[in-house]
Amino acid sequence: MDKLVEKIKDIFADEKLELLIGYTKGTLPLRATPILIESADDAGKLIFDFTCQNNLARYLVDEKKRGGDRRRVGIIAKGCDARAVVQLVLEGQFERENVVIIGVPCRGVVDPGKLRKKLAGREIVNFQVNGEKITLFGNGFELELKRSELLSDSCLACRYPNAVQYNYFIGEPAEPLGVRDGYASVDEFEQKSPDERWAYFEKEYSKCIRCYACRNACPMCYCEECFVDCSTPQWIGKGNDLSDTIIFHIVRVLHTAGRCVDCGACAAACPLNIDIRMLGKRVEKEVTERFGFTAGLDFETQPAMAAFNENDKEEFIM
Amino acid sequence: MEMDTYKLQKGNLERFLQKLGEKFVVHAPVESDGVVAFSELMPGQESALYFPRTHKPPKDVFYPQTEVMFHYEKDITHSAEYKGKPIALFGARPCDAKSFVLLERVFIDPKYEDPYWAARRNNALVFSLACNDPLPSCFCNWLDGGPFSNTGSDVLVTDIGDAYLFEPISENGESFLSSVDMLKKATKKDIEKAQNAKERAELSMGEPPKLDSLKVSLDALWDDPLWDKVSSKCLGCAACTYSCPTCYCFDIQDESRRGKGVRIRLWDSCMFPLFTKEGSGHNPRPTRKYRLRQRFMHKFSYFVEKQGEFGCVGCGRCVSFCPVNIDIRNFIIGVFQTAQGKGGEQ
Repeated sequence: MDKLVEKIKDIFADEKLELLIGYTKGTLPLRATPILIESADDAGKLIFDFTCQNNLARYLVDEKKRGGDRRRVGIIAKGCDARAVVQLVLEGQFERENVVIIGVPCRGVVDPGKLRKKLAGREIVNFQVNGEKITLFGNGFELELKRSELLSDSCLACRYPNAVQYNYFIGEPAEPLGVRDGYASVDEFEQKSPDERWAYFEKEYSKCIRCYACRNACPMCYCEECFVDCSTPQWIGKGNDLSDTIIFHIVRVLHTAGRCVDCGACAAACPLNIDIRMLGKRVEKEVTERFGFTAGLDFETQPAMAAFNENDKEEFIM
Repeated sequence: MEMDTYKLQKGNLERFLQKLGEKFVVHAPVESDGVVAFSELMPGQESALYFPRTHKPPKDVFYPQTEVMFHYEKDITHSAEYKGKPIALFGARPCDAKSFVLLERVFIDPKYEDPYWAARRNNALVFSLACNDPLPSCFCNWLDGGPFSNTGSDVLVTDIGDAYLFEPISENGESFLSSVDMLKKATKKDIEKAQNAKERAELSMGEPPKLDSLKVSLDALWDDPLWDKVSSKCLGCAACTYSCPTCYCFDIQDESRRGKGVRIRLWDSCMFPLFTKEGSGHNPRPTRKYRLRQRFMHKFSYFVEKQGEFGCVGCGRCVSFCPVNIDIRNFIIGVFQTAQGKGGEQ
């Protein structure tokens, strides 16, 4: 950890950073929290470990909103954070020269929703990691789990645990966890009948309370005005009618098609543990198969939805 | 008037709830696909009383997230106020029971009575279940509450192992309990057990900070850079607001088609940009800093000013659900520290 802090201090000075987006220890066990520091003197607060779950690229969009006041930013980046930064730069949301990507090796991060589910309403006061095992301690109980049981589904299938594009990389690159094949969960789901699939989505999305934590945690959801917030015209109903709720989720998935980096921030942000990832992963699969495009890997390739190639598969056009 | 405390063997709970169901629509915590929330308890359905704190607060029992106010067709309107049996809420935690008292001050103002709230809330009975094991994120004891507080309850229920104790708090609670044959009078020993559980639970929460000067400190920090700091990582979602038992702001919408439709009211959140956006396009709370300040000031300053106490019951849901771990307890401590640091300048 000291190495991270020392390196960051150097980078702060060398790169003349005015803002650094990173993680610090949170107030709950197994929860880190984002921190925005403006001086190298605060670098001592920084941490990076498997509790650093949020996608920090999201804060670049906030910085952009400062307009002329925007600062030169450094960002601590897991593989997925870095891919989101690349995608934001490609989409013209941030200038490449104003963001310093500081890659860190990621061995998977805790999904707070999964943790809550495992604890069934209880809370922990401490934890201990022992290799691949983790022991959770609460008031009057102890729970031993495999570490992977708490990691985000996105991490279990992640192919890019290290930043692919970066200015600095701190630490030894991590190996993909490879617990699950990229699209295994999607392929499995596709075997079900349409009725079964619909029943699943109906069950999941009927839990939605429209708090929009998923949207707001997403680095790719940066629209100045989201279609659900638009009142002239009003595109969808605002109550918790299931059809309106599902339209919100479907449109969000279509809107992030070919842009989503599968960081899992949406699912992790959901207070009700809704499986938000399934639809997005299915669309990602479509983009990969049809256009051979993976979001956020380099600064040159035009995103699938922004490019036309005469060799694109078009068998769906009559 | 001294009221008797009653006792119910756990095995008889279902029968008791059936009895309650004769006069009331019973709402209790129910688990569905990992989510525990209050809903109408169907015959034979098991309640999730073991669950320390429901994911959703019980406010939607009296104040649904989406509520039809009336139907209309051309110029005829049909009221849609609740006309069902009175509601009994079983298994609300003391923090949640207290939230009804706070919400009531808003919905049942001396001058205005909200008919939708009143239709559900009037004649309702609240059985709150004391917390033998408060969670680490609970902080009801900071806010004049406690794991065994009976504010807002008609009956306080305590789990004493093989049985529940029923302590009547209101006369409505007492009159219902005294009408149920299967309840026995609690013995001295039973009451002692409950007393021990109470002491243990209170002790486990530690000594709370004193919040007497919180409002004054906050008011003095209206323009402080503190707000930039706290809001810098806020995502602007409503995970806090919608999981909060005391947030009550709503929006009103018409959903109509060809002259027919409904007027609905639905929960809204001051964290959303649209919340205060005016018709002209001007937004008096243009960024998350202003919106977050509104939420915290409302709870710890404006509500105090208008209603005489804090608009927060310390249930800890926002602490647990905030996607970026903005911890309202830390915020409160931070306010005191900042106020102290500024002491010399004032």
